Amino acid sequence: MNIGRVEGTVVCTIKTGSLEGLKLLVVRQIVNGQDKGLVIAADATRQAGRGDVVYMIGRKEAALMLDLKDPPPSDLTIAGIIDPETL
Amino acid sequence: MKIGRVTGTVVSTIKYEDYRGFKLLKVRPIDLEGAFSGEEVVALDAANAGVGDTVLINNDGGSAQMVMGDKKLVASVTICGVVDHYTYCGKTTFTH
Repeated sequence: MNIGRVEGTVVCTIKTGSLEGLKLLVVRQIVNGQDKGLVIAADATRQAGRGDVVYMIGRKEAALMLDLKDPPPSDLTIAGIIDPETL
Repeated sequence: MKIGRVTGTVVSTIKYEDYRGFKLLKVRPIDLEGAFSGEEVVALDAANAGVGDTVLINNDGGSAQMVMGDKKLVASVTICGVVDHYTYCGKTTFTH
């Protein structure tokens, strides 16, 4: 799972059915302590916000983490927030 | 599978529900000379590893389910062993 910092949100009115109700966030990926560009990730915790350092899961597991029975089309999902005082 | 070195711990209060009770570690792959190579990732620990340990990293969702013994677990990277030593080109490297 890769690490990143949440920098913004994505609002999207027209989207495919299973994406309904999901929170989409703009995340700056941090690889080996260096900036690796922006990505958009769905939020499985539903509690991440701007400034939070998060870890994200990719590939098939990104969709399964959001919903095991009806996986929405996500290729990157926030799995958790790293406690800021431990960074 | 790759070998890597544990570089830190991850403390995470808010996380995916099924990860409750699991230990998360930061781990970075190393080459067989012992130098870092590749990207640091967050992994679920199944081998009671600690910071500084050389570990076996598995990057597959199906394997994660087997290693953790939970057929419904959604995970990608798992630490599934602590390496004692390895031999490469006739040279044995002890990791601790």
